[in-house]
Amino acid sequence: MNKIIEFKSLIYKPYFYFLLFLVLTGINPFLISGDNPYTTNLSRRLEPPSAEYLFGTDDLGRCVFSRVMHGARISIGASLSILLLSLLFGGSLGILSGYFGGWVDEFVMRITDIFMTVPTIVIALVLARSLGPGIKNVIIILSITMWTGYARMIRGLALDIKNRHYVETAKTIGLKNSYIMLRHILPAILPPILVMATLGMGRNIIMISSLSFLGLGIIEPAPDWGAMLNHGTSYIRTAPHMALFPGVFISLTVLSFNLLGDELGSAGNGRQFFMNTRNPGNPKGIR
Amino acid sequence: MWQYFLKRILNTIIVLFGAVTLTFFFMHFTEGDPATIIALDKYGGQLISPEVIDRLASEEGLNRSIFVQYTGWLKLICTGDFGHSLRSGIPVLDEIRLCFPYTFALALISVFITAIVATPLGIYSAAYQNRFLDRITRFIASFQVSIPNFYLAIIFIFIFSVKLKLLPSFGCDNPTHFILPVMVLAVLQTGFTIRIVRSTAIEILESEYVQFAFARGLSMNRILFVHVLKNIFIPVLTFLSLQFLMAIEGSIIIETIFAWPGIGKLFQEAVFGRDFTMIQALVLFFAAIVCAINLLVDMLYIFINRSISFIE
Amino acid sequence: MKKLLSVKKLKVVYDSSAGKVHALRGISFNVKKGEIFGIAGESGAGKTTICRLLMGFMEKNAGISGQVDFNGDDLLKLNYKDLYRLYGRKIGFLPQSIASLNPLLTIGTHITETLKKNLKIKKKKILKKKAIYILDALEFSDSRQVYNSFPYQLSGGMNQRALLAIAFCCFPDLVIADEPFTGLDPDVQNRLLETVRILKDKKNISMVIVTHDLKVIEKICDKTAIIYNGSFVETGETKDVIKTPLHPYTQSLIKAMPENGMIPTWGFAPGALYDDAGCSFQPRCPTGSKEKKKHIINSPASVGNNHYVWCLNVKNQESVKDLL
Repeated sequence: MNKIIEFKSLIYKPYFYFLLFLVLTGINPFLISGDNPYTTNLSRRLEPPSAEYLFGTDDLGRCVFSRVMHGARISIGASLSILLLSLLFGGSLGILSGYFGGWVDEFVMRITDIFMTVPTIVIALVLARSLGPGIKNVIIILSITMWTGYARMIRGLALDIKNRHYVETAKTIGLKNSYIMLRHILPAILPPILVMATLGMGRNIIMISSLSFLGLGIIEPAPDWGAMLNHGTSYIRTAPHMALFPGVFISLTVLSFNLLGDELGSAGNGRQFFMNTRNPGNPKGIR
Repeated sequence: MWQYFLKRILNTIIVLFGAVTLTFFFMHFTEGDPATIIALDKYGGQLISPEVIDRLASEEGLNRSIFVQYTGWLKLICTGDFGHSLRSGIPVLDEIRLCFPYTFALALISVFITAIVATPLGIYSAAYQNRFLDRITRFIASFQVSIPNFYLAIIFIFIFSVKLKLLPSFGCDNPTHFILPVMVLAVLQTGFTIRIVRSTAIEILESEYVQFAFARGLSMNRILFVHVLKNIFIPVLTFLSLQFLMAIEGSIIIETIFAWPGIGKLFQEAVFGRDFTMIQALVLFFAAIVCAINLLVDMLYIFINRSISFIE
Repeated sequence: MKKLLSVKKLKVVYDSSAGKVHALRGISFNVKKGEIFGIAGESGAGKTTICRLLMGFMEKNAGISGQVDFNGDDLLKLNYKDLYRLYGRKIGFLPQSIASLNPLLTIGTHITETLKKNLKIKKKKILKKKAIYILDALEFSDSRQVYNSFPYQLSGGMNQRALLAIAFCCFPDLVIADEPFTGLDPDVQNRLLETVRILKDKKNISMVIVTHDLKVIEKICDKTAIIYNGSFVETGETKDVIKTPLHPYTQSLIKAMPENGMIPTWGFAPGALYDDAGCSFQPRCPTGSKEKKKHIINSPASVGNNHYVWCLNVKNQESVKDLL
């Protein structure tokens, strides 16, 4: 019952529809834009937005609108892959080190310490320079740099749950460690992980476009938002729409993921999404 | 207490050592022969010949195996010698020393502005929850945390340099050049900081001592700017130190856009030019700043908050 | 003596996800100048709600009805601005725990800021002098040192005493105390209560004390009301209520006191969700009318000397003419 009510609240949020729209265009970009994002038309370069070209055209006469729509596929897809890889790797290491403690914990934590000490973008740039550009490399690079954050947070969560009485009880009745981790700890920490993952999507998109913007991520002619921004910067005086529209989409996407994360994380909502627990709530009037 | 700090410093050294090791091996994932690449960068396509490459390789020690290079480099930095830039030939430390003040100034000014703007806004926002000011502040703050720094920089350049022709968009000759990059950094930081200040202040406002202060008839300003401010001071200061680090991190992109002669631009150029010694020195430098700030905040915690416990 | 505070038919009902919550089911009482009125009951009976109502801490949308007349002002109808005018100067608040002291301000700052705001004193010297005078009056051994100490530098008992100093520093007409001095050792508690008594006599301060500790009631309250599940079950002079309790709930409370053998009352309170009219104590009543019908009690029985009992088993000895 509660589950439906909670999902209902999303129906009134504009960002929910924006994300839905992005996912749909990501699945099939031609749904919205008929133009091929790679087709050049040198006779119609740098045209401002018009009815025919909604976001104008770029320096090679390509349709910016269709490129932005195709960019959704790259951004959402790459960001999702990074999220899954880093969450899987970081999450399992986090649960293991939180649950077992000892030298496993010590080792994993020292490694995350190192990654946390050097700014993410610094590591990403160094790696990107050695691996070279391309979507596959971007996914590898950012998975390598992003897993530590998840590992640390999930370790903290697992450590908290591990010390609860019901986990101790489960241990004393002789359940296997793997069973306890999967059936007792994982479900309990799932809601905060979901919030973390939602916010992580936004962060991943920013990181991807940062790398592309510096020319070390996804590069032309692939229609990536960051790369388009980088490319458009040179034309900021003559054709500002080339840089402005991809940027708007980056910002709106990140904003939507942030808002969704806040919504999931606020007031125990994240808990309700999954556990279906009844929250008696703070009675009105009494602070 | 001294034992605690000794442990912290030891930990810091291990982490720094790990950081340089990590970057060293990350950098050598590269497929191409570094000597060839450097020669290409240095002399251009026509002038290089196998002899030039060999000479360069032996000069820089690039023809040895990775582990020999690694141990050799480690030995050198232990003596404080970070080598010289492969591209310009200037000792890296000199170059960093020359560039860092620019980055430091940007970060410090922006954090200062952030503190001045975000603290009162966050506190008012917490005190008048769901009123107009709070709604508008939160609305703007959620945008601020979602815009990537390079996009904000481009928008500002477009508005203030291209359209209004008010401010210079690149270089660093006179104080007006500070305005745009500082604005970009400050706008991004205030978004995060307002959120933190607001949530911390809400916690404090719900505490019993604030309710007691209300019950004693104290004025709202007295409660907000004495009772609440004193209690959020430490968490907010900690967060601002994080923002300072974020500004340093963000400098890599911001300085590239604004052609700001700081360490961010230096790093970006080093990465593009595969200037290995410079990259390594800069990574160590970035890591050292992070460690230093963290250590500093911890020390501050202990001196301000006398009741901190040393469980760790 | 004239009435300072008069509460009439105070009701608080609000909706929650579990149903209608009856926090208060219509209570009335008067407090005269220089009188200490105690309200005792178990947790969940609505004691804290009374406190919050009297302090204006309730949100306005909670279904509050009734009247709280303080010196001619209806506290329930005042806006925040007018309430602020009353705080500190006219109405003081004595909180429960020492968590009500800001950990980063000294005791002296707490007192001087209150004095400065409420008595409009500007000069720092005078403020300090007054603060020290108040600390002296509260029998601190070293007032100057206490003035400059932070809460964590003082012991629990000293902090409680400091709370008293802060609450009484402007000598308000009425002090509302929410579970004061609970969880303290008896010796410290006794001395604090004695101090309160002396302060109150000196400055003719009225108090409303809300507590679950009948000892506090017995020691300093002039009048007492026993509250059960949102409504009063017995009110009167403290000595009458404590020495000759007539309502079975009061009797069981007194039996539950440590020196009387700590005999617990059978059963549990029905809680604020219970919304039947009539005696909500009936299911637990030991005198045992086990009939299914609820006891409807419209008016209390008066047994003389302002002693009223809300129980069918108590015979009315006087006509209830001027209830409170």
